[in-house]
Amino acid sequence: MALVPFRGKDNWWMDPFSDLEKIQREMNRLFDFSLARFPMGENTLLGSQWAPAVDVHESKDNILIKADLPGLKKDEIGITIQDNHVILKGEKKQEQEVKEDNHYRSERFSGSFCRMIPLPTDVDADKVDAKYQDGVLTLTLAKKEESKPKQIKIDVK
Amino acid sequence: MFLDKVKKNQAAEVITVLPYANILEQGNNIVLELDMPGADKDTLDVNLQGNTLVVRGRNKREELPKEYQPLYIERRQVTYERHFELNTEIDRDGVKADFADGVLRISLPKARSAQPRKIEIRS
Repeated sequence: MALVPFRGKDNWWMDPFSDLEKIQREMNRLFDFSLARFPMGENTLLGSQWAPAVDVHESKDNILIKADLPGLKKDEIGITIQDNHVILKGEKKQEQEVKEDNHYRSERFSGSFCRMIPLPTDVDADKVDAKYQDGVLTLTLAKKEESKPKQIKIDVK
Repeated sequence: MFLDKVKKNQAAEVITVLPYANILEQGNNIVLELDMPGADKDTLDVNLQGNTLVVRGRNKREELPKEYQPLYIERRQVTYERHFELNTEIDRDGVKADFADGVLRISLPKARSAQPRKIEIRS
């Protein structure tokens, strides 16, 4: 997204970057937040109605993924590792629709979700740790040995 | 590069968001279910002031081990806050709330005076 120089009433010429910074920050906040609720694009498969917000962190040995998935049971979440993607999918079952219930407002997501998260390196599918607590799924994936950064010694002859 | 600095500050900033809510009537109760993933139980606050129900909570501060570098961040440090106006009489002493798997469930029993009462017609 290109930034347009902002000629506002303030003395923008005194600090030419502060207004750009402000606009950038506000736009990011708008997009970040709305993207978090509906992260669509190549990462979501068609047919899914929503997708969880996701953080991906990387260390020398591992990749850590955190996903916001409130109100699910462990057996409603499916985690698959394929090529170098992690696929999170599942179905949030509609909480028992008792006919006498009156639904005044129904904002929470329900139904199926699916999200493909691309990984920067290959991971060892046998060494995955998954934890689901307070509605947050934490995945720790161990990088494959060959994918870890390796220091190459230079032989000076 | 100042844009990097802006990004780092932004990731650390706490924003206030409205948790998504389902409001339904279950029998004699009004039930609210709010999505608050990652909320810290100790920061949850449910307050009934007059006819306004105020729900507040804060994300758990996630301290990742130093060796981790963020690659892609969508989740933010958030304060959840939402106000609800109730238009039914509630039995204040019977309000119950519980928090499990990132969902805060509040059940508000309707007051006896608000329940439909059949009136017998004298013949």
